[in-house]
Amino acid sequence: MNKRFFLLLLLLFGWGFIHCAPADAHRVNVFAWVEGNTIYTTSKFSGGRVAQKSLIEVYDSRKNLLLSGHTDATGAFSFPIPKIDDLEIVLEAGTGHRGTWKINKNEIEAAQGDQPSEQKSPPSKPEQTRTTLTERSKPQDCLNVSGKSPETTAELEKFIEETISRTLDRKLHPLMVMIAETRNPKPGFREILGGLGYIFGLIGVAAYVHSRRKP
Amino acid sequence: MHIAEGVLSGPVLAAGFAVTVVGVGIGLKKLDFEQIAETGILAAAFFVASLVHVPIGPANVHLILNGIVGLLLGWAAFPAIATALLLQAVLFQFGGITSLGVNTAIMALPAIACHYLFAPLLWKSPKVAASAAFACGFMAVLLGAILLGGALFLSDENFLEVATIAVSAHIPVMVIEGFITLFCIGFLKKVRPEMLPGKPS
Repeated sequence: MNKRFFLLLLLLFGWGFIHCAPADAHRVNVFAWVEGNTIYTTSKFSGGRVAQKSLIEVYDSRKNLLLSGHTDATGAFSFPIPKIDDLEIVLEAGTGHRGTWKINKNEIEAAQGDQPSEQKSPPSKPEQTRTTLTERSKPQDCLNVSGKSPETTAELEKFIEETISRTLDRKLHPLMVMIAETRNPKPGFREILGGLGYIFGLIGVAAYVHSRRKP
Repeated sequence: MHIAEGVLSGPVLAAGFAVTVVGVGIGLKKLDFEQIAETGILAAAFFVASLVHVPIGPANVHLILNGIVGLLLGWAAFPAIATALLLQAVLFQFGGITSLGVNTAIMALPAIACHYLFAPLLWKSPKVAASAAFACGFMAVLLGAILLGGALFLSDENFLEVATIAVSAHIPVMVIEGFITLFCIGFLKKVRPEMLPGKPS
């Protein structure tokens, strides 16, 4: 083939590489997290532009629509927890662009546990457990904790577990947000070169098949 | 112009796959050995073109290049575009596997329409040829945007609204692709005229 033709192709590919850095739309990502009684969402195109005034729909685990709303100018949208269930948050950014994010029931329950005013886990319960803990801390009682009252031990275990998970949640939350922010997947050189190589490989296969057919 | 997973209804997805399977079948049948390298190179160009972001206008749009792919390849545009879109879906997560059929149809059908509309005009007077090349790049994107609106309409959205958004968002792309096609055809005519379809011998 003509050298100049290849030069043109090279230029075109080069242009693609240069421009792929501030890439594009094609994908929208929605990320949601729970804080107390509210679920916060942010929506972004894969190039980093926020998805403004886009429709957000929230579904429960049975695919029932719970609520819907629109993102603001910064791509954010928040709403009170509509239901304690596995929630699916769907972002419709128009002309076929769509992103989803799932929030587990556990995540909602854990976040609600942070709120002392929440009716689901009244503060009296952990406090009760706490008194049992101090009572039990006498050495002679500690010896027969498991034998004497398994119910209280189970409660104690549950309390410790809850406390740890709550604390972990709180500590890990900013980290999670950070991960989700950087998780914005953009095609890199590896993907681009891989795709090009795949296509040129297919040409090779086609040429090989052809050469076998016509010896 | 990539429709994501979960947007379209089942029948639309199935229809898209049916159209694409038929199109790819015809394309592969018509593909002769001499055209294989050209098809592959244009598939590669199409694959990369989607990464070229056009930062004009309110929407995020990118080059498509379906016009020039269709003009040069004819029916072979179907396998070329289907392959490139499959790789985009797998590697870039653009579009999706279930919507691959519809996405291919949206971009390949206008490509073939433009091939039949404009290829015969390429060997007329220079002015006509240049206009045809520009129109080819322009129209392929325009028709694609209209088909996109149609696919979304069949899955329960307001056709006029979606099509208007899709078309207006792609106006800069249409103009740019018009010029790219114009430039490429002019270049190929000088350098490798045998690559262009319908060359009078």
